[in-house]
Amino acid sequence: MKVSILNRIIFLLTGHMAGYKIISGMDNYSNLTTTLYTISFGLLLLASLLLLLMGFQIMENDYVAVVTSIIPITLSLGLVTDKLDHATFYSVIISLSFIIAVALRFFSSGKIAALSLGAIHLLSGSVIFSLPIILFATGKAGIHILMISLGGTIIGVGGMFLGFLKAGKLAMKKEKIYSFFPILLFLTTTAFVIGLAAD
Amino acid sequence: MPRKLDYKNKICRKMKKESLLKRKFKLYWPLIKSLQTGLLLVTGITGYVSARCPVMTWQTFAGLTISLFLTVSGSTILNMWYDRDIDAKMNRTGHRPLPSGNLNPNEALALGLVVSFIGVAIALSMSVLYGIIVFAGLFIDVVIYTIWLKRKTAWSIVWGGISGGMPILAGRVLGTGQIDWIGIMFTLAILLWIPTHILTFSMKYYEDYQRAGIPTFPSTYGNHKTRIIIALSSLGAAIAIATVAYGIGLSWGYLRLFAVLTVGIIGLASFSVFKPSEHVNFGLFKYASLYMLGSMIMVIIGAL
Repeated sequence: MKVSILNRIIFLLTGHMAGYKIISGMDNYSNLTTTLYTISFGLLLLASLLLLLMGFQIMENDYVAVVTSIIPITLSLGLVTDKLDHATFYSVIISLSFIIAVALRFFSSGKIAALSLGAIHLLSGSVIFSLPIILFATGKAGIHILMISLGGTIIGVGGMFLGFLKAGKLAMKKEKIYSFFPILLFLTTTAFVIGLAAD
Repeated sequence: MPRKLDYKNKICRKMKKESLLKRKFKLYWPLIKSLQTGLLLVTGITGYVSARCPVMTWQTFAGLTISLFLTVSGSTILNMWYDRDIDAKMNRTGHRPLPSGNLNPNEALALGLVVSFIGVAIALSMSVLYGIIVFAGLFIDVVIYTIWLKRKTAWSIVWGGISGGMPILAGRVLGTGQIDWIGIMFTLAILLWIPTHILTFSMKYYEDYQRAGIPTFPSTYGNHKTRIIIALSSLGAAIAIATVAYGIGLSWGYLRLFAVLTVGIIGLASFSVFKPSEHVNFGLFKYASLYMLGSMIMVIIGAL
């Protein structure tokens, strides 16, 4: 499927948005949080650039599923290390889960590997969705942080569609789902950038 | 009545003159490979801005832009003039104005010489060292690369790379007044980036180059080794430009972005070696080009 001019522009804007966050939006974080956010926004930037240059074909690559799972992992880890005092437990759990998922990818059946990656997405996605709501409800962050939950929801829905598509359990055409993907990626990145803007 | 006729003739002559100019422009414009020339011009401006000159006048900036544009365009025209016979044998280049017979070779030669001469003259009038480097770029590209080595050895691309690195070095020299390690690293970055460009094309248009009898890396060393060279040179170019970014004191934000983009190059380069396909190879080529242009823009914005 060819990437239309409009989608190319959207990918470019997404890349700019992620690049902007990496360059100038990380002055107030610790080194660890900065590194984690750099990885997540860096992967969003690289994803948009590679989709822009190489088309939707790259989404069918097996490695992409593993690499893209790093985005929610590092984003959720960044949120946890930035906003919570006790981040060690979650950090250990999510890191171990990722290592196990990568190992399963190479040494087990495709179904088990997909399930383990799905579990990681569920865990990190839950943190990305719920932590900002808790932080806002307890008055520890401004309303803008809810944009992170929104961004997580948008990409979560997109990810679910792609997952069902890969599993062959979706009646929709591949092209139809791909046509929505650029705008979903842009909205997600924008929501994350706004959500992480300094209070 | 005669007055009316006179007026009509005047209009006719004017229209003919305009259409002639338009026609000439249409023929001359492809001779300068505007995208390539534009990218090299951006590198020259980057080199100049990276010097963070305390006094940056619009006259100097205009002089830099005009002299580089004319010299790079001139050398490209002279390349096209000299290579018209091999261009005619290749599908990719056969439609160009010279091999297709739409432009007289002597006219192109004269144009190339005049444009180059004006470019170098402006450069020399601005600064002798700057002028020498601009001239060196022209000489290496036209004489050493195109006339002497291109038809003899696949390694000629090294010289093509060195000449491509001259505009950025020249820009840096104009800003600092000397050749420093940052200027050398800038040149190295371009030198290493150019093989990515040329080798990808020589793989994609293998048959064309074979027909024209041009020795290339794929025809001399095979596709696998060529892919390894492309991967290594892309990586080298990325490291060189990232080193420059650190050397000129760009903020951590820019360095983080450089690191991210470099990871992208490493990933694609690894794929092109271990899981090669035309899609990945061309993807690496496009990414490396975007990386280079993006790096230049980042250096300009970061240094301002």
